[in-house]
Amino acid sequence: MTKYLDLSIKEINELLKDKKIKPIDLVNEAFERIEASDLNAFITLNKEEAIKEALELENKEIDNILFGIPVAIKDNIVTKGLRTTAASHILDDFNPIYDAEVIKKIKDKHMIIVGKTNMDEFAMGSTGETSYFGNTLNPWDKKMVPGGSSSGSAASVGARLVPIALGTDTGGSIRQPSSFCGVVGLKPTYGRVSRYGLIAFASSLDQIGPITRNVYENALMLNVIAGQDDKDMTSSYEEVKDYTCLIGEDVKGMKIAIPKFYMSETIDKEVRDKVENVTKILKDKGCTVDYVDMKYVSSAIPLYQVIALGEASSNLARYDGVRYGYVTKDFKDINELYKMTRYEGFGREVKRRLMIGSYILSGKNADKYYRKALIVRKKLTDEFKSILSKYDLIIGPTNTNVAYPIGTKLDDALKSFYDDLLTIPVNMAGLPAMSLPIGFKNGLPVGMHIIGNYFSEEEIYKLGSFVEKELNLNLDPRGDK
Amino acid sequence: MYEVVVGIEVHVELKSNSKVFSHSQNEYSNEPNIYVNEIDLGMPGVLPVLNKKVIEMALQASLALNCKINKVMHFDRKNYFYPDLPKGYQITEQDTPIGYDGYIDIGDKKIGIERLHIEEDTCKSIHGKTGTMLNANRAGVPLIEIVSKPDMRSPEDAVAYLTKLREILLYLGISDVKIEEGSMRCDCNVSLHKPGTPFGTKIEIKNIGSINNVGEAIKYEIKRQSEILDREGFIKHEETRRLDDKTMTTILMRVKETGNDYRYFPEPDIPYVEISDDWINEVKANMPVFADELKEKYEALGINSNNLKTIISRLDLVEFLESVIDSCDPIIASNLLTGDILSYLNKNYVSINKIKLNSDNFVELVNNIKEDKVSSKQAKEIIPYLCENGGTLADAISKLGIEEINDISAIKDIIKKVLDSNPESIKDFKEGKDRAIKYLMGQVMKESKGKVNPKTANDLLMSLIREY
Amino acid sequence: MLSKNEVDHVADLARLHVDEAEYELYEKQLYDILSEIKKIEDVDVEGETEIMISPSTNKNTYSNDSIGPMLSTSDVLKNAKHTNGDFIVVPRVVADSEEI
Repeated sequence: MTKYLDLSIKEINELLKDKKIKPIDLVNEAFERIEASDLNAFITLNKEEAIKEALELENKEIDNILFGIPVAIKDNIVTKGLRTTAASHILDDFNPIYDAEVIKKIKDKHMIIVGKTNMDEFAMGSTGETSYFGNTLNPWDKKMVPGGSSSGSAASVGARLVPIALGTDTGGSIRQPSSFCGVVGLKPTYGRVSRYGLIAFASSLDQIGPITRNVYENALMLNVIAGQDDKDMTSSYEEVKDYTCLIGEDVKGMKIAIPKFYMSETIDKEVRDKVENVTKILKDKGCTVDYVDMKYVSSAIPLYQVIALGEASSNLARYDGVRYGYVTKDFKDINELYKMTRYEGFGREVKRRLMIGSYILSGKNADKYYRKALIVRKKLTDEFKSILSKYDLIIGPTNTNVAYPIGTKLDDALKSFYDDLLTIPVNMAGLPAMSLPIGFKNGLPVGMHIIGNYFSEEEIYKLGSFVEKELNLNLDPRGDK
Repeated sequence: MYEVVVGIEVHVELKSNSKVFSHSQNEYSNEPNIYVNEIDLGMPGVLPVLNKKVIEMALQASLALNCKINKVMHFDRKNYFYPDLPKGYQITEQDTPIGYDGYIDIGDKKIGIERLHIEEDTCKSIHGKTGTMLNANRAGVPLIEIVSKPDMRSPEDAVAYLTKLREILLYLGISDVKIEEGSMRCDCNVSLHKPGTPFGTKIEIKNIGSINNVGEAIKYEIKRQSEILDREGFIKHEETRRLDDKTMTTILMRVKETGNDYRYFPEPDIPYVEISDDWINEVKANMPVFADELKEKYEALGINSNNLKTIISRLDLVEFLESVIDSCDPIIASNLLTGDILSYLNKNYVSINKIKLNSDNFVELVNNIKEDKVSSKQAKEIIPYLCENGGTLADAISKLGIEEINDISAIKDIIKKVLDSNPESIKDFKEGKDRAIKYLMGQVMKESKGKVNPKTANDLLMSLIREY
Repeated sequence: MLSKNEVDHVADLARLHVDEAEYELYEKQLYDILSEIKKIEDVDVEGETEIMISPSTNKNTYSNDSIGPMLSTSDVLKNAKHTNGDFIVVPRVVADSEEI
């Protein structure tokens, strides 16, 4: 078996340029790996089309470093002519008639889409277990959850099935599974990447981002997908940078804040120790690291429930069996068509969240909960802004703990939210943040959270790549190569 | 005696090129589902854009209706399930309507405008035997909703309000405002109370088919509600009714549930819109001349009130008349426009700027009629020709084979023949009855098949009759 | 715990059928989440009244009044299960209750 996909993107690019390998070699290897894997990381494979594209690329000039690189796409990003399900029964035969903006950008760079990755249904969940297509397994330990909702994207990169995947993050859905699977995941600044073609969960929180094996390749992928898009009015006009530009620079003099909340008793001791370990290194290398107070982060869970579920109840109203998607077999009137289609088409986690979201917005609740939440959100954001006016970056753990066994949290309606305790505040403010592997607990990866200021992803990559290099961890779950 | 209280909600389709939240064409068609893209269908993953032209049109309407302007506005989602609503929510402006607190002058009183806001239209539904069929051409067409205050106190107030509102929107050129085609839709809230006591229970009459029918619906409701109040003292439920335009009675559609739960919340996909003072001033400076001003002008020129009403109600006729009014006789021009030309337009469902008749050949025609070179009978033939084919007046006359008999002796022969066969009329004339001449002239024109110049014939008749 | 009626109410708002066997679970789970949500009422916002709808700082981002590509009618109907000619079809809804 060839092992080109264990090489760095840079090395693969050299081989392609030297004509030692062809894109089809990479695609074949990716499908060999995917088909040999039992992680259930993919919902739909794009094999025929991917092979066709790879062969077509043989006549094209290699014009960028990601040329010919296989990439996996979370299944809530629409791909023209390639089934897109959001891991839901209600869309299990949905064939999009257009490409998401990020897909266009990926195709422009001649990257090759190998398939659509498994996920929690409509990105609602933090374990991958709410998928209609069955749960994904953690590449480090198949009894453990891979995290979610970008479960298949994180697991497929973690298991080295593909070098790069796209995930989406509404409350931690890129960072939490990245942390559980020992990979690098970035949620960019809200508005940095176009949401056009991302199946909306919570419109004011959703953002697409890269999941990769290392920091440098993450920055390369952000370079591809970042940019203003006229089709997404919330996409930013802020200039796009080369996000690799600060990688390798000296971190001396960087000012770093750690919110005390992120290192409180709620967080597992070993996880905190890993972060402390990094803190020590950073101080040694000339960084300032201060603990800071944050008042509103502790309201993250109810804040998220109100805003995310309120928006979701509206965003998912369109799945009604009329224009596309699953429709119930027997119905006598329109109301029954709606209720039975949605009852049969959605899984339980989604239904629970839609009921809550509808309730939050109904009657006087809209003011009591929703409007109030939008004010708290403003306060939380101001708090972040104030810290980031004094510090370059904020760090802490990504999660309260490492991956846990499959099946543990299924019946607890609240626990899946608590998994996102430390990641949610970032989505509320719209800031960029990354999860970076910094060690292991009982053989399972621990992730560190690096939160940056608006549109300064390059600063996150700078610190991230430095830490990555200092720790020099073996992050391949297959053991020594 | 009860006093009637009326408030009116009007939805108006704006005629932008593209839809309000997508780049699909904003156009009516009998062919279903042709002006549609993935946004209009609410496909998974789509996002709205915001058509600036729509904001501008709504701003024009707000200012023309004397509204205050919400200078910082956001959109909201109105959530409800209905098959004509692709996303399961309608994007509207609940919190911050672009215009609020305005009014319309209807002569002796002002009718308040509560709010004017932008929203998107839904799919058009056709209700067949086997099911309701959905056509998404209309989905996402820009609408403004104009909500009056409950300031109207009679059917006449309501008719005057709607007539004036329609006229203003028409003159702004932002909508076709055709009720029969659905580009203007009226819902009417009617209640009765005794003056000095609180307002009564509201009855809503939906989607009334014409402005006059709004008056009829209110008249019927006054009668119906008075009887209930006389008998029972109060009206139990708020209701939604519709007008049956055959019997001019209202029919119950449904009793209103206690407050629809639309679960409004701010639309996160559309950024804030700020309306600057500069923009407001620019729109104000470019307001069109409105009907009232034109009415005064046309009255002063002697155009009769029927013609005036007809012209004022059609913007294409106004624009056309304005383009020729300094070059020809306004009275003849108005007669032609509201007569044969309008018939032609109505028959062919076109506006005047879409036909071959233009200001040049029109002015030529009017001036020739004025100088009696073209008879009104001839004009009747010439007008459809010019509308259809254009060209000069001379072209039309020659193509139609309308040739004048200019040979004086030939005209004299015709007149003599008429006089010979109408001795009674000669007698009448000699007894001083002027109408005899009119009759004789009519006979001359008939005999000549309209081909003699009326003025020449008249002069000749006057001299010849004296020889009898 | 929520009552059965309350579950019915929220399920109806979200247009979801609830199976008899599910009530017990929803009564507890919805109660648990709503208890958490209610904490938002007690958060002290120090007199702040401004809301934050979105992290986007864009404003006045418009599109122009131009006509872009549209779908073929077959693409419009492609994913719909019930169609008739060039229309998408649903069970007959009475014309009388049309909403705007």
